[in-house]
Amino acid sequence: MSLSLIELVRTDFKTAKAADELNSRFQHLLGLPHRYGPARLAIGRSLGIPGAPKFETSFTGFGKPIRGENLFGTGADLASWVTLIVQHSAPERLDRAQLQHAVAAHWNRGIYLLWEDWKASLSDFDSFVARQAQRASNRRIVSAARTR
Amino acid sequence: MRLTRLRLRNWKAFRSLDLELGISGKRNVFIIEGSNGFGKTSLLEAIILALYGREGVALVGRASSRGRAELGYDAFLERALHQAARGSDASASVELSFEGEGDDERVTLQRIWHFNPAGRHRKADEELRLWTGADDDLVVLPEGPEREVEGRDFVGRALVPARLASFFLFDGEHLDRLAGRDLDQQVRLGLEHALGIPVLRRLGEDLKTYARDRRRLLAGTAGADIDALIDSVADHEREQKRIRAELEQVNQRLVPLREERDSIVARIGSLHGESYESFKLLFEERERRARMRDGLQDRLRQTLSFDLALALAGPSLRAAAREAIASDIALAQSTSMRAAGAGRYDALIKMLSDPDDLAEAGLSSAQWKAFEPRLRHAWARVWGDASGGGSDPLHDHLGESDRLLVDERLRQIEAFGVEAIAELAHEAEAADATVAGIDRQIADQRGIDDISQQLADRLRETQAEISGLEEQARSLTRDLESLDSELGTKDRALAKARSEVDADAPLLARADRADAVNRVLARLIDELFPLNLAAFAKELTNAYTAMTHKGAVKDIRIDESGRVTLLDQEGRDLSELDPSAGESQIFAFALMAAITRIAPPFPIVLDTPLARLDPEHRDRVLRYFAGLDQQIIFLSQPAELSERYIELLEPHLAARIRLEHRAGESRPADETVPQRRASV
Repeated sequence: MSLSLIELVRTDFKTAKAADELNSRFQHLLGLPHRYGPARLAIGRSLGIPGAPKFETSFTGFGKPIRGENLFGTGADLASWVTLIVQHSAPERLDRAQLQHAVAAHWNRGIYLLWEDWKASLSDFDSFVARQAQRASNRRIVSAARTR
Repeated sequence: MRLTRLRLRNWKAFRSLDLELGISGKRNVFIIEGSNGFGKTSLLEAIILALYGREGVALVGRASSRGRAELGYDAFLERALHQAARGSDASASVELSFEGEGDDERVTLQRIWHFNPAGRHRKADEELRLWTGADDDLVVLPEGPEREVEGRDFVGRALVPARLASFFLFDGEHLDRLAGRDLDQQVRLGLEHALGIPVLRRLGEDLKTYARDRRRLLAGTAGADIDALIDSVADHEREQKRIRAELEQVNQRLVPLREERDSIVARIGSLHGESYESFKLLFEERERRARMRDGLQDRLRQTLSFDLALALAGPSLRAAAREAIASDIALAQSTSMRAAGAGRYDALIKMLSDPDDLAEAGLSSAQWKAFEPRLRHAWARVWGDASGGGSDPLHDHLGESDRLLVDERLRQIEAFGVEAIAELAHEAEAADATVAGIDRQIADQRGIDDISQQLADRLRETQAEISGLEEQARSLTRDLESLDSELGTKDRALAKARSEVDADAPLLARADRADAVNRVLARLIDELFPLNLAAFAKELTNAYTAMTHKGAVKDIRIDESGRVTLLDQEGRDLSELDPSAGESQIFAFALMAAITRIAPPFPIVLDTPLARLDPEHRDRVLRYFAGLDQQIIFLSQPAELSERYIELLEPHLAARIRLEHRAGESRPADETVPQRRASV
């Protein structure tokens, strides 16, 4: 069955509990007001890596869910996120459950990659943001402003 | 009610049987005797299955008893069809006529079972007909599945319900099973059945299941979640209140600090005369720059959560997605054009293939046939059929307009990435640097003299405290925004759940009513049993003392827990003494008799019930049953009822019918008692 954006607005997405705890830590470290902030960064970060992320389901359970409308927004934002996730899985087609699984896997892989980036940035916000911006465009920029 | 006529057709060993069982005066006993295999038990089975159909199969020992393979209703019926009747259009039927005291208390019941040529019977191949009243009016039963239910209800009301049938219609095997239980179990089982308690229990269970299923159905939509949702909203509101209070506190603490800062600035200004204005301006500039810096930092956070996060997927994935979208757009256009092209091609061919036009153009039909496929191929190419048609779009979650929106969004991200973040970062950094520069200028006020130096120190401390509190206030405000957003989502979910619950209120009310009725039933079940104990114990004592020859038991008592006590003349409890098999049977007989005494009047049909009893017990059992003012039909073997017993029964005997078996058929033999009227 093909995906329905309307349905995804109300779909819950979650990842491994440990990854979700790291998500909360990032929320605090980056001073982000919402849980979806680090979650989006993590999913985006994992989508930037070719190859399907591995996701073990034998961990200690799932973290707290985030509704589709919060995790991806609505309208063009939601459609763009879903398009990128589907594109990353191509040529395999995803139904709703497979998309939820793909999101859990990307979120899980991405948050650990961000944590490596944070350590590589010596826990410095500016350096971390600059690193991500560079990764986003494959270009180098000067360090970002300190927000804390 | 008395059974006045029994008619069988193609039933077991009976090709055809018509027995009239009229009662004359006080003669209420019928004996139908025959050797094994002559059809006595078949008569009992015919009565049970005619009355209760499929529901009666549990009462038919040969269809359901332990130790034999479970035959089941249909298989039992297939064996019941008379041997000579097998073939096309075979059917068997049983007709029972009952009469009560009044002229209009008449019920006739006929059940017909049909069989296919292979002798198979299926559920639908059964008819039940009922007549009632003085004029034998047909009872109108609905068609379909309700027919069997209504028929069963009618039989239950007018004659005796199936749950009580086993106390009126039974064989020795059934009696053995009952006698095999201890007295307490026998009594509880018997009385509960007589009072319909198992039915009430089943009803209670059904109501419970109904209420649970109803609530579970609602829980799937809103019902069960609503409490959790209310708790969660309450938790959020508490947290919201706590943060608001903390924010208020922080703001309250800021007020005197800001006043103090202004006061220090004013005092520094008064010490330095003309420089006060510039000093004040410096502070105002610092405040403005700090606000600007905070705004930029907020925008940077937003960017992290939106554009940067999306951009992190990288240029190659974005490019692949945009290519796939372009391909999907092309595919959609091609599909649409092909559809349009196919329609137009058909119209074109219709015009071109007109025989007159072809002749006019100098083309033969064969030439046209050879040319047309080429034309079709060329047409398809013109209308875009060669463009890899057949595959589905990858991004089928996107509609036509979504594709353009996503393409545009990904293009924006492509352009946005580095420059926007760099610009934002520079602006925030510059604003931060400006604030730091102003802080340095303020600090430079130190050193003019001791007083102004002290004031400048205090100003720095105050400002640091103000900055700390302002950051705390910003952090609390962010938390509050996050909480407000979550609370908004939960409030909407709660409102939706509540409206669903409101819409489901009638269903919930029904579930509540089912629970309420169930509570009444539970109470009824608790009270029904003790309410009837005394009357029942009295009937049981009468029946038992009449049938047992030991005479030791004078009184049978049953307490509210169902425990049975057999008391002798001196009030001693004899229950613990181990009774013989025969004595257990006597108790079971007494129990059956007691139940028939408190149930509506109905014929008692006993199939070879006396085998285990010694002669004196047989004597007493026969006397007791014959003395009841109910119709008694004994189905018996010749050895079971010797002439001595027949003589004993004679004052009550309405008919004695002997079955014989000849040429594969059973039939009544010559009559031995004048009241019998039978025709074959």
